[in-house]
Amino acid sequence: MKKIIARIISIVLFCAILCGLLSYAYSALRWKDTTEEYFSSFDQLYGTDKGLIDVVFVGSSHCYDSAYPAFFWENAGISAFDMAVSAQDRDSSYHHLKELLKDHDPKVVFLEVYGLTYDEQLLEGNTYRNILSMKSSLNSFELAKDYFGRYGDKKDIPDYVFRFPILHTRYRELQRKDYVTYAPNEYVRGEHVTWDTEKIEYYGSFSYEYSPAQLEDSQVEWLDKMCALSREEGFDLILYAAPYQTTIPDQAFYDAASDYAAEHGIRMIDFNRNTDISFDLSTDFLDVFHTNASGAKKIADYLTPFLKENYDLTDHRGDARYHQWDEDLAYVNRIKDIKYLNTEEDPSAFFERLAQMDDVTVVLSLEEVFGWRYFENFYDSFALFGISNEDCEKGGKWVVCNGEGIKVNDNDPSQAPYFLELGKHDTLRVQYVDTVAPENIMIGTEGYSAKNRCLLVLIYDHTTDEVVAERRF
Amino acid sequence: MLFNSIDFLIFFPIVTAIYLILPKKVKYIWLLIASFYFYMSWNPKYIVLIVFSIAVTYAMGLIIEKAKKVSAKKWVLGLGIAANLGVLFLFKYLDFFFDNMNSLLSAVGIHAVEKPFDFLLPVGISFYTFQAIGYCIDVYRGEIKAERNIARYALFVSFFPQLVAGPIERSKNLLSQLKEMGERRLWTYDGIVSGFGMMLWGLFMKMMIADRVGIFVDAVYDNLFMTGTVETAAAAVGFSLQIYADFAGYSAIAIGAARVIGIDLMENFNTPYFSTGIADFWRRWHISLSTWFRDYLYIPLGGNRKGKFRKYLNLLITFLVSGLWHGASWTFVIWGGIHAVYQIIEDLFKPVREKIDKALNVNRSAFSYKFGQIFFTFILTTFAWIFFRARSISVLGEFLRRLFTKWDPWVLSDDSIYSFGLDAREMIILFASVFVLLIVSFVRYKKEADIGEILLRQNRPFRIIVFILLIMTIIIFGEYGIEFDSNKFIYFDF
Repeated sequence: MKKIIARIISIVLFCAILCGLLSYAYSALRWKDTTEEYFSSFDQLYGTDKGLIDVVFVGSSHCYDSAYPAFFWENAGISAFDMAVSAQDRDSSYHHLKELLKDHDPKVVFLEVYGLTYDEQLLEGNTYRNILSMKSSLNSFELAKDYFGRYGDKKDIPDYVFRFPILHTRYRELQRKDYVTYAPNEYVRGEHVTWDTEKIEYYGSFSYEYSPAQLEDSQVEWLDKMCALSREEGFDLILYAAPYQTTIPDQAFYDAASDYAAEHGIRMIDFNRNTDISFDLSTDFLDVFHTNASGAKKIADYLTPFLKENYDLTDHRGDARYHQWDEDLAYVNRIKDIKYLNTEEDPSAFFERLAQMDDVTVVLSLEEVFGWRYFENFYDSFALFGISNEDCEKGGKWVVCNGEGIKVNDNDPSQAPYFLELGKHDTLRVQYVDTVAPENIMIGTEGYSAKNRCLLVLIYDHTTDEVVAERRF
Repeated sequence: MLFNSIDFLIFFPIVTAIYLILPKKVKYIWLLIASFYFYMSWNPKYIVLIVFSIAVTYAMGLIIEKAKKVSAKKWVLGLGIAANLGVLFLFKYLDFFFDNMNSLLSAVGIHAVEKPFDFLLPVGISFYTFQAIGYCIDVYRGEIKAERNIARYALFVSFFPQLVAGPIERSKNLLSQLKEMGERRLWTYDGIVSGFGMMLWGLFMKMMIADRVGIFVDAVYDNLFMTGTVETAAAAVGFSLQIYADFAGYSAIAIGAARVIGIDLMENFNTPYFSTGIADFWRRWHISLSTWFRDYLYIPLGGNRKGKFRKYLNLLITFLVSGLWHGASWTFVIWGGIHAVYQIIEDLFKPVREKIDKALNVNRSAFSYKFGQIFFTFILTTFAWIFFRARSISVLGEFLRRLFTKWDPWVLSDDSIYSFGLDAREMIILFASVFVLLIVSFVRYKKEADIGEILLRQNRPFRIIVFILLIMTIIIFGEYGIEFDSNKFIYFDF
């Protein structure tokens, strides 16, 4: 009997340890947005408490670049969310929405219809992203079954169900974000927050004739399924096409979607034919395919009155349960500030904005470089952090926390290095070994040097635990 | 259904669980159904071939046993062997035969003859036909009684753990165990633990070593124009490792799976790269095949009983046939021939070597002496593997030319060695895995027990740690999954 009990205990122990380790390995290896080039909002969805989302935008990068829930929140306290994944195909969009509907009861869903313009994923990475960023469930199994039943090889389905056959190769690319939660993921509401800009040649399809494409069965089936889902779940479905430098074939699909919407008594908002908003080609686009935050702000400003007029949407501002929307808006504004700090050429304006930033640690380094010593140019700027002109004139290195500058080195090689813990994982070391030596200022394994300028400003953001700006003046 | 596939991961536990709850007397029926399903998962059509082989050899066994006259027994045995070899020839050697015949005919100006059929090689055909032939010979020799229960006999030929790549079992071992299934206890804790350990170790060898080094080896053979001495030498050593880890890994999984079910399969590999000579190597490498050839070909030819010349001739014949068994290509035949020549030279020069050792007062029990023997044997077998791996004579020629004429040691320091599919990180994983293999092989060599048995002798916490480490290592660092498709076991092609 003792022998049997010992065996049972050892088997249970073995299974428990194995499951624990597999679970930890899975959490590190599972698909995540670590490249910052492609996106999936699933982590953000799973981090949202049940029943909070009133408005949903479903779609691809066109969706997460055009619909910023932060601006709907700012405008009217609307709790919107982007259920968006890069290159979201039609099968994925249906199952992604179903995943969201498990825990939320939105009143209106905007379906972004760029998915009409392509069928099978051209990049394997997009298939992974769309299927594997969803948690394992019957729904994710059905997505794999639907997608591979239509396009791929059905033999691949078990690999997508068990996941390790695909994900295990990520051991070659693991990075910090695979082990540590990337803080913005906890509150961003699905949008791809960017204020980056590219001037494009045109947007929309104002010069194209209205010429709807003949939709294929699979495309109609998708729209039909979405309509059926809206009836089953009791939300209002609205189709929309995001603005971009569109093409005639793409527009033909949007025109067909407009026809479909008219036939089925649902709304379609095609921003490529909509003349009520005017987008600025220089400031409102991220690239030829996508709007940026500035363009998304215009879309939110346009849609907010429409939503308020047509739906009974509560203003949730001030409700503590919706804190993630507050944080999201703050983050969008913070990214705007960081963008500014990375591009502003005037040191005075730069320092004025920097002095207003919370939750950052700033390192200032003034060194004489190749005989240049124009330290007096920075007296006023340094004064913003309580640094005197005399101190500034001597040069050296300061660490600014909570707006207060503390001198930590006089550019003196004999002084002991200064260390500061930045967040959970990074340590700052400030010392002076030689002029413009990268070893003078190090955060983790990365060295920073003033290079050929006198002043180096390093900004470490505590909300993202990373260096967000490295400027030289 | 590969052992390292999700299909097998589902198949094996289900088969084992049902096997556990079934009454002892019908367990073999369940295993037969599972074995047929396992074989049909490759290609359902080829079930006809194995059923044919089973039917013919089953009937032959009974007829041989009943026949009174030795000459009649011989005729029936001959028919049984011919029928099995006929099927093997049709599916494995017909193309080779026509290609060579056409080459000969075209040399004398006669038009080529068209092949009447174009078959794909059915997986495992060389293994189960040899197992069935071995059974007929054993009945003929009176070493076993003919099996009367056709389902049990069918299970003997088609037992799924060893069906597609061996070990080529003997009727005396496997059939007798299948007969006792209704009487003895099959399901034991020790058997499961030991079998599970063997399976994990087999998967480790296959997925951590064989398939990883295979990427490098394939890249070198596919891009010979990029290579010189260092890359080709590395590929040759790499292939030695690959084929060992692949086939010994497969055998470990097969033996482990059978052990979980309560069946003991024969040993197939016994640290072959620790061999101190070529004859020793063949006592340790693919033991089930080498002993099959020894018992059913070499000894019937006269073995070493008819003088030196006949012994060497028999050795040559046996190894040439063994080479041909591995594949329908002259490169395999040459590989077999090389091993025969190695052994002949080894035997011929044995007295000379002993005299030299004596004259120089060499301590033959010293570690350095043994290490030298092992190293030299490894070099010889590695050289022979070059012939085995080359898919054609032209590739072989180019490989050898580059190996011996293009000295390029700088590829080790300018990182160009990493251009062949394995970067520095993958190389580190490979070397670490090979180091583990070396340690386990050394323990196996010293303890003279397989990894399953060795683990069984250890304390429970140690076993748990080893199992967990193996599983986690395989799952994370193993070569498998969607991006990886060259995970077929090499010996499935033979």
